[in-house]
Amino acid sequence: MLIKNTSKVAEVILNHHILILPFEHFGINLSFGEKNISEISREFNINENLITSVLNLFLEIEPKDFTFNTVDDLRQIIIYLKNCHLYYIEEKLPSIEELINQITSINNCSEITLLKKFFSDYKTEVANHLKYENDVVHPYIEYLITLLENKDLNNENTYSVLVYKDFHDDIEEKLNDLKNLLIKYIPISNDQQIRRKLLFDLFEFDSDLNIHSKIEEKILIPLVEKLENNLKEYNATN
Amino acid sequence: MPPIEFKILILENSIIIQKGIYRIFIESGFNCSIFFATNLDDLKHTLKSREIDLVISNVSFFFNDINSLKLLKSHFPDTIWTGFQYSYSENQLLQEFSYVFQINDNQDTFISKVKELTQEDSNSDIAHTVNLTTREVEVLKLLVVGFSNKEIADKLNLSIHTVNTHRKNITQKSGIKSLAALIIFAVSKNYIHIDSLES
Repeated sequence: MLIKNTSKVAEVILNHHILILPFEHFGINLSFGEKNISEISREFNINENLITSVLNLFLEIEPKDFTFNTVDDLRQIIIYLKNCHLYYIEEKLPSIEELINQITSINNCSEITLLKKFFSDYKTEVANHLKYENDVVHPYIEYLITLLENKDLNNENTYSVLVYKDFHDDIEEKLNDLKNLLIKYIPISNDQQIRRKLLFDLFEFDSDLNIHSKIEEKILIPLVEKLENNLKEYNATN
Repeated sequence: MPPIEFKILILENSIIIQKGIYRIFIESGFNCSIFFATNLDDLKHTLKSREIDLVISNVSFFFNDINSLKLLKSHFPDTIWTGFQYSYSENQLLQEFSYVFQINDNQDTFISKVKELTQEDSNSDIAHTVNLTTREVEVLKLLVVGFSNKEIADKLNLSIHTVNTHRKNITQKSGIKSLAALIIFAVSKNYIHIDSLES
C-alpha cells in the first residue's frame, strides 16, 4: 500500500518493519508516538516528499517522477547515504563476517574456507567503494552546493557525477552470488541456524543496498546534474 | 519441488495499461512478481538488480531504435523478450520479440501465451540445471584457475565467441556470475580441488 505524508509512522513500521532502517538512515530514531510523516518531517526539517518517496522505494513502489529541487534536499540525501555507509561498515558487514566465522568454526569444508576469503575480499571492495563516495563524491557535491550558495561560480569543474553511475553493479552481483552459494551449493554441516541468520542478514543488506543505489541513480544523480548544468549555464553567460 | 515464481517486468508509460496488465496477472493466479519500468533506464536497472524472466514491452519504446533492443537482448540473454503494440509498428522491430501481444487480446489468450513462453523456458532450465556439459566443465576448470577467455579459446581450439557462450551458459545454469564465486561453485561440484588453486 502506498505510503502517504499523512500516514502514521508507527503504523507504517508495524506493517513493514524493514522501514525502521530508512528512518534511521534519515537520522530519525524511535519512538514515534502518534505522529504522521508530515509531522516527523517538520520536526527533523526534512522534505516530507523525500521521506515518503524513499519509504515507497522500499516497498517497490516507484513514483513516476522524483521532484526534489532544493539544495536542502540534496544535503538530506547525502546525510541519508552517509548514514547508510556507516550502517554497512560498522554494523552490517561485521555482522555478516561474524556469522561466516561462526560457520567456519563448525563446518570445515573447503567451500566455507573459500567463502571466508571471498567475503573478506568483498568487504574490502565495498569498503573501498564507500570510502571513494565519502572522500570524493560527497565532498564534490558539497563543494558544488557551496559554490552555488556563495555565488562563487567561476570555478572550472571537470568532474561529473555521471562517472559513478555503474559502481554498485559489481557489489550487488557478488552479494547475489554469495546467497546462491549458501542456498544451492555449499554443503551444510550443523550450521543450519547460523546459515539462516546469515542469509537473513544478506537479504536485508541486499535490499538496503538496492534502495541505496536507486536513491543515487534516481534522486541524487539527476539533482547533481541539474546543479552542474546551472553552474555551466552561469559560466557560459558570464 | 515448490512452484517457480516468475519475475515479469512491464515496460509501459501508461499507468492505465500497467494496472490493466497487473490486474490480469493477479486475477489469473499466475505465480509471478510484477515489476514496472517507465523508461529504458528503469528497465536496465531492474534487469540488473532482479533476475527478470520475462519482459513485456510496449514496442514503441524501440521505434527508430531497434539497436537498443538488440543490445539489451544480448546483455540479458536469459530473459524472454515480448512486446505489445497498440499502433502500427515495423515488422523488422516486431521480429525482434519472441512474441507480440495485441491490445485487443483477451485475458485468457494473454495468460496462456505467457504460461507457454515461461513454461518452455523453465523446462529448458530444468533440463540444463542438472549438469554442465563436458565442454562447459572444461571452460570452467580453466577459468577458475586464472586463464583468460582468449587463452581458453586457444587451449580448447574454440573461438572467443564460443568461450563466451559457454561462460554465459555456466552462469545461467549455476546462477553464479562472478569469477571468485565460480571458483567456490567449481569446488562444490568437484570440478576442481581446492589444492589446485593458487592462494
